[in-house]
Amino acid sequence: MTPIRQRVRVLVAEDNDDHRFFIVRALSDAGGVHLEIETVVDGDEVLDYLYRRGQYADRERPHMILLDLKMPRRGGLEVLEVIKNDPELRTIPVSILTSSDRPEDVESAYGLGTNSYLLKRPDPEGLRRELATVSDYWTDSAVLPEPPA
Amino acid sequence: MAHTHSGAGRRSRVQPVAILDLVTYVTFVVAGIAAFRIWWRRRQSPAARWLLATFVVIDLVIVSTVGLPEDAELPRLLTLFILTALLAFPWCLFRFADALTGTRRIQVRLVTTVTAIVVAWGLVLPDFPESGEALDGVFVAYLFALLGSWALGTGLSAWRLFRAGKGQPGVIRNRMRLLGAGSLLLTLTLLVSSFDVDSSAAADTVTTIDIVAGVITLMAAWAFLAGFAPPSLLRAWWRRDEDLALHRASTQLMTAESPTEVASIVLPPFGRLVGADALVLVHGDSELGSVGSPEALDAGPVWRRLEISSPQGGLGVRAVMSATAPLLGQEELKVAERLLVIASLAVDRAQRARDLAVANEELESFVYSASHDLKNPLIAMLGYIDLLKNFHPFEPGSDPEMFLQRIDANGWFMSSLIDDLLELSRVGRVDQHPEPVEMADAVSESRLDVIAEFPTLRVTVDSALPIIRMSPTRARQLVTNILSNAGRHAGENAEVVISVEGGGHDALRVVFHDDGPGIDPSHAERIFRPFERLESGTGEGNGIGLAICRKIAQSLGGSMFLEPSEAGARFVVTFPSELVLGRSQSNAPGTPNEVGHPPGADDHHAEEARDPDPVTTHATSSS
Repeated sequence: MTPIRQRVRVLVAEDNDDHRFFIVRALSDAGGVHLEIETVVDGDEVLDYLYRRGQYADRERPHMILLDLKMPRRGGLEVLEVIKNDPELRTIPVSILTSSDRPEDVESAYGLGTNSYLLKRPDPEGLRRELATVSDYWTDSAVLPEPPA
Repeated sequence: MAHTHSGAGRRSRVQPVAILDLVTYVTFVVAGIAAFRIWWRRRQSPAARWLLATFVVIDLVIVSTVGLPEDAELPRLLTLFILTALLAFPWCLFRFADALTGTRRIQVRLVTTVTAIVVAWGLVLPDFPESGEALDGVFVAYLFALLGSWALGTGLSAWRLFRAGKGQPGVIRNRMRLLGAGSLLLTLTLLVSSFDVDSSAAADTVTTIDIVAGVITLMAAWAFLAGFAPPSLLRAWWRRDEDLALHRASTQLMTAESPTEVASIVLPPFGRLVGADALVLVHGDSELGSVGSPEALDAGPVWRRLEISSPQGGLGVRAVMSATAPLLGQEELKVAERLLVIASLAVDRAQRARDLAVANEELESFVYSASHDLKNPLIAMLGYIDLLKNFHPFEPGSDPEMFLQRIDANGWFMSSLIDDLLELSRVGRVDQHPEPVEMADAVSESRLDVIAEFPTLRVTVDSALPIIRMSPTRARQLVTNILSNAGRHAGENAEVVISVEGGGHDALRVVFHDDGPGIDPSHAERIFRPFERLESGTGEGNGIGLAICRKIAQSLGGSMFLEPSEAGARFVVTFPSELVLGRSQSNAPGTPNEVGHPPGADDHHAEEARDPDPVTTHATSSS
């Protein structure tokens, strides 16, 4: 066990206002000061954020990404493909967080190189527990690479 | 033939030989008729012309000698004519074989030169010896030259025809073989007759050689006849390999799963049947598959090109046949056509199966999207209810008012989703009786429908709107959804300009052009799919509106699409011309106008904008 918990910057991509509210709420409950949460609302914004375009020009790149699959303009799989094909971005761990349990989606996501695939729990308590596990895992157990500059 | 020549008028004949000769003559005449029919069918083909020439020559010889009395002394002119014609026969035959199988210039020159020399020699010969007269040396030499020329022509023809039949479909191969055999037999006749020439001076009776030569000539005549007009039994026998392949193909067609597979099954046996070098299977405007190089299809002479289609239409084959096929394989095309009928059914079936598979896939993805989109607001509502149940007043971020408001919003959103889903499934299925609908009225009503939600949206009618035979509810739904979409995405104070294009025999186009940021052309199709949204957030519509619009247009036989535009989004709805009952004569006061403003609010504007010719004028600025 490493005695020091690292501070992790996580980018949450979720188009549904309410779901985003619940995810952020659950994550901040669980992660406390160790998590720094940033949110975007669609696939294009994820890429804007990662490539520091427009309003995200001065943002630091995240340690990890929580990515919804079904989003307007650019879906999660498309975004995942871009990230994992970019030599600079591919080291950032991506977790798909979706309500789709379709085998095709799971398979495509792992095929494109997602680091994990999480099913959104429908109840807030379940979501809170789920995201607490996620947060503990990434802030405590896992060792993350430094995000690309 | 040499036999006929050498014996003509010299010697008394006994019955058997006379009968033999007669049968031979008749056979040659019938073969001549068959050759004529082939030429008649394929007049553009050079081979057909040479074929006809060959038999015209031979039949002329027969006609000019058959009526003559046995011992008649031929006038010199007639003798010369017969000799020339006899020499022309192998030459024509060779030219036919040459034209059929690809010209070899050197051979043509050789045969032509030799023939010409011998003909010329005959013309300058001083005299032909009388019957019983001793033959002088020059005349014997001439006779050998004549035999040599004949043997060269017929021999080369036989060889070329045999060679050309190789690798061809069974019927063509066997017909070529028969023609080759006919030529060969004629050469043989000549060799046999040459013995006859040697003995002719002494003998005045029918020799075995006469009979043998007669039989061989008759066989040659039959070979030619069977080659040109094989009886259908013989053809079926020759065709058995191809028939087997066709049979196999039609069995395979039963299980073909795609039009491309149909093409790959049909084309090879089809090509074998007609001896095609290149062929392509076409369905409507699209090519389903091809064999050989496609460039070959437009090269080569017209008479070698084949284009047939299935009797009910739709499916067709374009092919370039081998040079021999159009001349000798005509009947096989009818068999090929039968295969095309089965293939056309198979293509239809494969296409329906594919359409069904696509529809199933769409349905599956639709159900997935529908359940996903219905679950989202539900999960949110349950989440907020859970938060309310475990509400702690001092917990940061806990705002029961906000939670209730979100439950409310999500509930209504879900309700609109369900309503629109039901509408989407009803369009085209459960519709009221169509009636003449003034689009102008639909626009006014729709403007009122959306004014509460998008108070700053301006709607301008740019030309006289049509009267369409359709359900008034659907008309209003169509326009309302388009206006809501513009209100949502085109921004504050956006303007939608409605205009009409086309008409007459073509479909009428009603164009809704807004001045918002427009839509990326790459999303032009996506936006019409249910649940597809280009913007995020719950206030952004449910993603079904445009799908309903398109379905309304399609249910009327029209269409709806996004047209590329330099600025703003340009939606086009087309209506089939038979549903267009005319244009509104008296549009709402003030055409072109902005519609749907509260009554009385812009009366002065209506006055100003009134125009006698509503079609050509443009909207005045908004009030």
